[in-house]
Amino acid sequence: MFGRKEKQAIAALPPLHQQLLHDRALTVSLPPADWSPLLRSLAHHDDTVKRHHLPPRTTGLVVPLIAALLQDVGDDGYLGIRLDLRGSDQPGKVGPAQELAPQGRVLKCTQHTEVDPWLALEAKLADGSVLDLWVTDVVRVRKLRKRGSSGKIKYATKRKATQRVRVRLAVPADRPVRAPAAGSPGWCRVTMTRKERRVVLEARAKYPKANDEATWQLKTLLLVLGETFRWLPPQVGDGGEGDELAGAGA
Amino acid sequence: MSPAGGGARARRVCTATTGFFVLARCDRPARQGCARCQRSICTKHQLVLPGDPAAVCPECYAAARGFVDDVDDPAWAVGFRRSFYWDASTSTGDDTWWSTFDELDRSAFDEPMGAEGEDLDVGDADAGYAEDFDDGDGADFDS
Repeated sequence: MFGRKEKQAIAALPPLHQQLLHDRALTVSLPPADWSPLLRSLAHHDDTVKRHHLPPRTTGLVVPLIAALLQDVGDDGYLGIRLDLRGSDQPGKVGPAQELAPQGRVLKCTQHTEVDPWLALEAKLADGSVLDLWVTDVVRVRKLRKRGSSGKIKYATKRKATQRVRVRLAVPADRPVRAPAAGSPGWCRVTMTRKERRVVLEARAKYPKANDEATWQLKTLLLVLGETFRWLPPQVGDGGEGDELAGAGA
Repeated sequence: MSPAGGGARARRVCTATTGFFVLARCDRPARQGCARCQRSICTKHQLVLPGDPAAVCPECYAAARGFVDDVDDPAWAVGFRRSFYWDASTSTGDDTWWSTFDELDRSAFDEPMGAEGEDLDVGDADAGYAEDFDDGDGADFDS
């Protein structure tokens, strides 16, 4: 239901904001200057639109993730996303159901898998690198019919989700790359491929989705992204030894 | 030649740290120093704390303000970066990652300063499922 004030508030939103609100999906590539007003509008959505909320994960995960990555995008760079926040139970994301053999008091069990690639991101960074990020949720859904201890028939649905993250960072070939001394955590695997003009670092992570909390997911995604950047030693001029100010006292 | 070894006129540049993963120096011309840490800062990176007219650098501003939740706030980026690098060092055991920061950046952390071919399995494929549905667990029951 749209009230008059609600309708006016939604009409005043930027077009891309409205698209995300209506379609629960957004595909766009913009320079940093054009992202700022859109992120500002998304972050303050609930201040003006009271009853029509943005999809979960928008303000708590997607907005801060993009805002953080935009810090690394130069004025001539860009950041593009393909965002699909419709959920994993949409047509096209649900795999075929299969029946499992009954066990114990479980009389019937059917299982299907939902594959939800909800985020793809590409950014050209200020140092000439190109960053790609893909996030996919894989959810196993089991529907059971069982007989309880009292003989009563009960129905249950169990969902178990894992998150797959793939990061690809292509840096210029002349940039030094080395494995971090501390190594990578066990839940993340990083590989390096040296090509003619680029060195490609690729990180893959798979972990159980412990909860839907946006803060936890944001931190985990940034940790996977950070695993590739840990392979890049600081460049000359990043403020290391010998990079003192010229005429600091002037 | 100036004492800094530059040309006839030494150039003072902003030393504010920019970026999130790709850390760099601002390098814009600076006109004054941070009132707290004395590092040179340009007009873009000058911030003013509430109740204090003196301009401070983003790192000192974020350290004084604490965690800021609003992405639109000018202190959010620096505060969020501080928070992330702190978490990352704990998670990865790598306390050298922020070596791209200088001593001024690191001191802000001190307390006193204030696809293809991939399987789609989820969990243990061999494990039975019956034990997941004990009588006491009614949270997910449809009816």
